[in-house]
Amino acid sequence: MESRVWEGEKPMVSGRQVSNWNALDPTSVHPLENETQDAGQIIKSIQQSFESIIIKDSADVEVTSTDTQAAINLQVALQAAISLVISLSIADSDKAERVTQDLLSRLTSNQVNRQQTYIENSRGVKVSTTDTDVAVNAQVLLQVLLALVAKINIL
Amino acid sequence: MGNNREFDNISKKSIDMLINSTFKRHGISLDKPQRLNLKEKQELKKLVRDLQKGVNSLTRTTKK
Repeated sequence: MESRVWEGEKPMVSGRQVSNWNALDPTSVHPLENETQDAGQIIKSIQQSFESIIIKDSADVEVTSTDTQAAINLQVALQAAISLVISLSIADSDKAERVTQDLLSRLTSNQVNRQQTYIENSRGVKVSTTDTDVAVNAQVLLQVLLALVAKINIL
Repeated sequence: MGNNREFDNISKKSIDMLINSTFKRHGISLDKPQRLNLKEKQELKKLVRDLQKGVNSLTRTTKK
């Protein structure tokens, strides 16, 4: 039987190609292995999203999927806003930078999202998929931003 | 889930504590926030509102 699994092109993460990790190969480095966090480090987060949707022999199928790229852009905007609010409240820019890095390094997480949807021989199907990890991360960042704005009392 | 509000409170408290402890570790007190003029305040408010809208639309999709 032919394989039904379609594997999309591997995405580029932070400007590098993600290599396949093999659990049986001791020399193989897990994609998350090198992602350590400390205060002075530049914020890093691996966000991989592998999503495939296959529709076969079907009619009236509606698929809604999260635009992961848009979600990540939103996340970056939230991080920038947090950084902005902190810099407004701390006059010393080096200190503001350190605080921002420290705070954000505790919040960003490594995420790998894998979704496969297979629809065959169906009619009138509605499917909605979401990259929950990205949505959750954005929500946490928003909460931090709101808490900061309230605490700093600049508005 | 019936405990959503409780979870909300817990998450707000923990985020508050995280911010407080981070500020404390860096020896920062927030007694004198920088003064913003009206225009800057409005811009910042709009930015926060827009971001909130963006996150809400993302979460709404999740709940579907």
